[in-house]
Amino acid sequence: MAYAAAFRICGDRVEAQDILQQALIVLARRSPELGQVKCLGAWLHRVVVLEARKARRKAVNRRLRETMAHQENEVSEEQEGLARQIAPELDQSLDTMNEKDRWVLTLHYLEGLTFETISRRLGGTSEAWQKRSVRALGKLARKLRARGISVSGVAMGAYLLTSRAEAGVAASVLHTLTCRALEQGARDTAAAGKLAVLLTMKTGVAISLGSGVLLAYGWGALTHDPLRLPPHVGSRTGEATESDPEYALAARRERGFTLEMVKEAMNDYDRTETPDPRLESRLRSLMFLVPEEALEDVFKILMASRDHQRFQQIAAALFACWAERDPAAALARSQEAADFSYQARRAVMITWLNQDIETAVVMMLANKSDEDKGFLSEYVTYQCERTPAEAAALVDRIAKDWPEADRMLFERVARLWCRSDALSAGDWVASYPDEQVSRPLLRSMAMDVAKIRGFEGLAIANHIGDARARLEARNNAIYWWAITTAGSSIIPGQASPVRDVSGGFPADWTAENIRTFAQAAMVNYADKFPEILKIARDEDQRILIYEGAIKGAAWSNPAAVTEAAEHLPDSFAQSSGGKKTLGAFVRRWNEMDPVALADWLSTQPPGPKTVVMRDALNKEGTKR
Amino acid sequence: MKAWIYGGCLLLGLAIGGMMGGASDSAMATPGTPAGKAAPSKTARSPETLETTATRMVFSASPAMKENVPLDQAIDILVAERKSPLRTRAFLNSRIQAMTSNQLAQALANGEVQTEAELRETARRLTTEDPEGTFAHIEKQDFRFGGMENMYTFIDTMLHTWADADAPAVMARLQKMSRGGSQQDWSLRFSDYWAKIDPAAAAANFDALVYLRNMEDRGDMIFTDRSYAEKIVRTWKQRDEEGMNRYLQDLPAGRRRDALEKAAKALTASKP
Repeated sequence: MAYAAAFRICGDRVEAQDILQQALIVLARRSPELGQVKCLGAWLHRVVVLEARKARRKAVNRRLRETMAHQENEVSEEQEGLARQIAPELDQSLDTMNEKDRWVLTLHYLEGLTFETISRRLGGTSEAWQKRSVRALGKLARKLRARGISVSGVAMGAYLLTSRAEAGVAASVLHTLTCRALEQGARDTAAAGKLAVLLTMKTGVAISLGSGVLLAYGWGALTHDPLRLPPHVGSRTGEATESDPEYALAARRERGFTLEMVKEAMNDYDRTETPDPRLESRLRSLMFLVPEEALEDVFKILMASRDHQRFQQIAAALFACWAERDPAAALARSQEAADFSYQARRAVMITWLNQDIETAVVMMLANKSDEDKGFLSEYVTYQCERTPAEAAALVDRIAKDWPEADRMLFERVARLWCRSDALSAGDWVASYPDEQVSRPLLRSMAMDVAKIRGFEGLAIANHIGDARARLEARNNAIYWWAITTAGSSIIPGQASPVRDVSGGFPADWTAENIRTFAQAAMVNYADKFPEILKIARDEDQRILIYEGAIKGAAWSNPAAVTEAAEHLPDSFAQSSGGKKTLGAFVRRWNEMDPVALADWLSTQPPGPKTVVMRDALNKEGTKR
Repeated sequence: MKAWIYGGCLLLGLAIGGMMGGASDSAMATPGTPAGKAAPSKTARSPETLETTATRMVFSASPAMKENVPLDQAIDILVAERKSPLRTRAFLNSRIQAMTSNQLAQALANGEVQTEAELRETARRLTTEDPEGTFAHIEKQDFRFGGMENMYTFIDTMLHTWADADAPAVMARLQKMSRGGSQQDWSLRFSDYWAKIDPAAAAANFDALVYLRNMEDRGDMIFTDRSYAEKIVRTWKQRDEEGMNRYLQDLPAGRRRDALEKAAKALTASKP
């Protein structure tokens, strides 16, 4: 590793050996201090860089680079040219990086250690080191770009990996390149006659034709507005991939980003009377295409806008983009963002959480502000859309250090998680140590889940320890299940397995559960009353269905359940609940269709039920 | 020498190609121009060009932005890219803005839209363009939301967007619904919102709204005058207490006046 670094800087094998020797002397001399050094590799690297700098000043092989500069047209030589550009600057840039970034780049890319090994040696998780390495590569690439070398983070990583392997053969590669370059130079000189000029002209004509045709016919494709494509909604074919030619074009197009474009888009948005959602949407998306070097300029344009309130979400998008590249720098800048500082911090923290959760959480725990609590909530909401278990893990991670946030986020995640995986969410909530928190939440979740997934809601209610509370929660869940999806729970062959009761009410359902199901089913499915009756196993269950149905249909469709009123036992009319229900039943029917009610009532035999119903109608008439 | 010749040829080619491209461009429909109509000629750096370029750049920024990628898959792609969550939202919003009403309705029918922010934006777009049609779609259960919460997110946004534009029209449409749970449910949501944004108008339509809300969950016939009157009075008092008092004084005796006066007194007693 040390030899490779020295070689990269000076480009000479013998000189690199000298540098390494010098560095080892320094190592030996300072051995008493080495106990305090956490990463020996990084320390040695720094020594080598310092020594190599000295050596480089003395001997630079200019002739080689000048010759190489002519080799522009061959791809392989381009890559090698990039390597040659990077090599002398790499180690000096690496040396200016912060400690941890230097550690990870040195250990992983130059010494070849795995992230697992690095995490064991230096602490932290392998994922965190991996993420740090990606960020560090990006920073390194930026530093190199600042020195005039155009290189991406990915190319940087590839170069470092290959440079480790090729340190031993670098000299021979350079030798080959040198020879090739010299040969090419000689060929150019020999071809400087008329024939060569003619050949060149021929190629030039081909270039002009090619570029002309490309521009003429490629223009339509390039300017093709996505809005005008024929609709393919619902089509699941034609998934795009990064390797699509279209995205290769896109990569080139991104270079077309101009500040003028942003200014124009902002002016368009700023001058409308009321905020235009379409313009806002375009601007928000455009912010994510701002190149790193233009972030500050775009922010200045934003600050110059007329109505800062209108531009809050735009500022958030800009800072999110900033944070994607360098969250620490974005956070620092957000503190000076005046009117936009809240949205800027929000965007930075949410982005940071998504890209490097460990660091972001540590920062939030150090701060523990209400603002950050809100940002965490927004982030876990986002996570719950696709990876709720990860959101739950995040909440568990902060529970001990930040109980206030835990309480809020715990409920939020539980509710969102139970939409996609109710049973796991129920298990998670049941594991919460404080029953005062978990019990009402389980009850509420049971209700929400039962609406869609019937029995799973009851399974969640079953987690409640207190027997009475558990029964209440189950009954409540059944009520909402029936009110919402009874219609599709009682038809054989149509019901979803998680809520199929078409074969009969489950054995563990109480009389109250059956009554409740029938009552709630009438709210939206009064026309399904005959089907619900078929579920009844015996006469007792039929009576329970009658009781529930007449109560439920009293305000939806009383006429649909006349059979219930006719078959209920007289004793029903003697209870206070029964009187109230029968009264409600006829009052609502009277309101909806008094003639039909009068007809039906005239056919009813005298008895306690009829008396109660007539009394209710008379009272209603007197009241009016 | 060679470089000069190549450079010259390239420029020549670009110039010729540019002219040809410009000619074909004028025959093509451009964004904002009806198909077949020639777009006005423009310079390379005119604002229209910049807008088009910006839009194109946005739509080329991720495979998720391709029009034939369904919205639910687009979310998966954007989430997997592991960039900012705000980027995911912004890009999806741009996708929605670029879709026609029919495309949006079809996406909802396919169950492609199941995230809160996108449901809200879709509901807002559709309702703004065709409130009656959107209402009818929901009533007929044309859309697949993948859960009650998602459905209510959509319905609330639809009712609020329409109420902001024309609340009486919403009430009239609710009155046309068949009596039952959905009518009550939507009426409760709409009337609560109307009481917040325009308590005077909600008070003026008090009887009709209470009828729509008149359903107690457990089936008993309990009229909900008072609870709704309290909602109206709470907002009205905050915004224009004098106006509210004048309105109550001018009201003829009856159920509405009783309910609103009682609610006002109760509120005063609880918050002197």
